[in-house]
Amino acid sequence: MVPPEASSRDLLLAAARDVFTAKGLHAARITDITDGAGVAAGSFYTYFSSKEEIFAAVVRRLRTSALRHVPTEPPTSAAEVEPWIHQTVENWVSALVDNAAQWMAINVAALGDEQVRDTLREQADPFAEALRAAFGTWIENGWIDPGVPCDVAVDAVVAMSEQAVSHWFYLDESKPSVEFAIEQLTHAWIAILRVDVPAPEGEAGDV
Amino acid sequence: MSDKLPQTPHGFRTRGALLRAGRKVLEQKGLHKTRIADVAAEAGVAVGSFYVHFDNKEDLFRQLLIAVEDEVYGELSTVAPGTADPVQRILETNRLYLTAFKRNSRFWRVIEESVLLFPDAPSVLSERRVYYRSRTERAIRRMQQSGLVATTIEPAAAALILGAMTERLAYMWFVFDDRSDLDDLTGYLTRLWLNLLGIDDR
Repeated sequence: MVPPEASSRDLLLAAARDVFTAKGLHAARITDITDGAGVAAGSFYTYFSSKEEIFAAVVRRLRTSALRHVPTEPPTSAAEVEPWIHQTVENWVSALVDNAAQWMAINVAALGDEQVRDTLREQADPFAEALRAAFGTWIENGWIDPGVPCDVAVDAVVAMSEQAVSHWFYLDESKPSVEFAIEQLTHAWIAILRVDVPAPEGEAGDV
Repeated sequence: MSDKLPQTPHGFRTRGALLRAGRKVLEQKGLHKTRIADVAAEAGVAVGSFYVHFDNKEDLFRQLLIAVEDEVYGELSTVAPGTADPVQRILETNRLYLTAFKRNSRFWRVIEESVLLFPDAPSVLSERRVYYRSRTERAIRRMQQSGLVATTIEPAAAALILGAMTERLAYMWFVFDDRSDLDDLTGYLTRLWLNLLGIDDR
């Protein structure tokens, strides 16, 4: 939702997101966006020089907002890793399912245009960076042991989750419940990362 | 769908030229921007000749997809079950898949674009994905029988997750990026498979 005191730029971004989702980047016209935003056609160029530029800004906003899926409190012990993973997967997968059409449009645009692909690749991805920071800490603490570099582990859980959601909810291959998807993916993240849970209190460790 | 197979040697040559031209134009322009006139011109034939062999742009694309996929999945079938250590077999299968994927990465980019643009269209891609998934499922069951993989793992669900991860990682590495460290990537992908299956070979 766009707040009542939103700037023209916010209105354009919100409209652009809807237009790109409905029509894709290729078919979208700047007049579609300015009509949707309810602003004068010429005012578009006050903020953006092309539809590709506003597209990149839309993606940047979506990527930044994905950061809210990461719990604010990091795990303070190995035992808290699995609940943290479950919460993150639940937040993120729910959003992926709700925004499936938007992400599809973004993917199609990137696939069809090399410049768009380059722009998106160079752009920051705060959610992936947060995962890298978390996994890096956990590896140092000995809480997980994926056996691959940290960035590969992040790529793997992101790739797996995005593609599985795409199969289940967009390509219409099976359409399970969202809860099923969250449970499946949580177990998969835990397996990929090789999360070690410490022995329960009270078990004497013989020296 | 086209069932217009050529009846003459000349027809076969023209169809071959159109397929090669179609692949070249599709890789350059993507599915959206490719026009039949471009393909015909690239092949050096009249637009009317195109329609002798293909119903439309999507039909050309579908025929190309079959040819490219046969190359990728054909190589996978050379890694026969039961003839090697299962971990080694996973490694070799992943190496073949990534190598073939990278070789055809420009075309996979067009395939993915079309799948996303036309999700309701019956797709050769999803048929092959189902085939590959059932192969993986069978392999998991064999490994469960030999005790390598725990029976708590559900083979069909694991095969879907493994397939999704592998496919999307290949896109990330070779379509959205342009990596060339195939040995390292094969090793990483295999490690990820072993982690998901709960196989500890350390």
